[in-house]
Amino acid sequence: MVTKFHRVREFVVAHQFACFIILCVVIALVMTLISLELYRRSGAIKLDMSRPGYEAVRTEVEKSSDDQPYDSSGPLNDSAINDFENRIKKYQSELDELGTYDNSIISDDSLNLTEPAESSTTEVVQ
Amino acid sequence: MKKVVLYVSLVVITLANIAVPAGAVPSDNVIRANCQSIQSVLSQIEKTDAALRINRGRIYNEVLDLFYAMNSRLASNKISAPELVSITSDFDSQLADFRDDYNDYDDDLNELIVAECQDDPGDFYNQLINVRDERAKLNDEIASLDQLVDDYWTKFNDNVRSVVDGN
Repeated sequence: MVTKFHRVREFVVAHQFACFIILCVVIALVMTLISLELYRRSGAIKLDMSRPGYEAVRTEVEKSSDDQPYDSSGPLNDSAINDFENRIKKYQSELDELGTYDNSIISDDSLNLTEPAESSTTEVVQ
Repeated sequence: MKKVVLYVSLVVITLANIAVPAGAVPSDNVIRANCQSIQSVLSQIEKTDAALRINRGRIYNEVLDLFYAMNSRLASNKISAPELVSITSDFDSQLADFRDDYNDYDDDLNELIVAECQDDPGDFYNQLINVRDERAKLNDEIASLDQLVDDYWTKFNDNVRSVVDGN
């Protein structure tokens, strides 16, 4: 065991630069794997429109038009209230224009999962 | 009379057997015949849902920041508004639930898209029903969030504005 350790140490000393490069690559790989795992687990991957297959819907994502956040301190005068009112009405209007998670598009009818009508049985009833 | 009742009963029973009752499970053959196209449709829905999630999420985040900023401003002006603080707290909580539920919905939808529907159509349909339930829950949550935005504005207008105007 000690001999093995000495051999490894001698190898590293003899090839310092190569070992340094290999160590850097290994650390980079480990950090990349950790980052990818965090990216997946946090749910950020679900909101990533740069993924392949999402080209068509990238244009549907709207960017924020708010440059100045609302001031959390200061007097509460007409100007401040009007600013607040304009902002909240803008958000209400934007939310009204957006779609919903309506279930009608994944109903049995929409997905053609309804049983076909049996015309022969209908004739018997008549 | 007995014959009339008998004939009417037979007709009713026959019609009941012909008619597809509401909520009937489609047969395995129907599911197998359509599952490839269904998965294609679901794949498109997943993408548009993601865009909707981003757009709504952005607005909700900005609304929450606005609520916190206003609450802070009210406090710094020594105006009491506990109902606005309560609505803000509810909004924050509901938004966190929406984010988590969307992740669960997206995971299940993705599983449905890649499922081997030809091998087990029954299981595929059950997963589809589960995804529908989760989507309905998301719909309820966004309705609730939108309502909270309206409630905040209503309470602000009714309770706080008069105090500010009075001052």
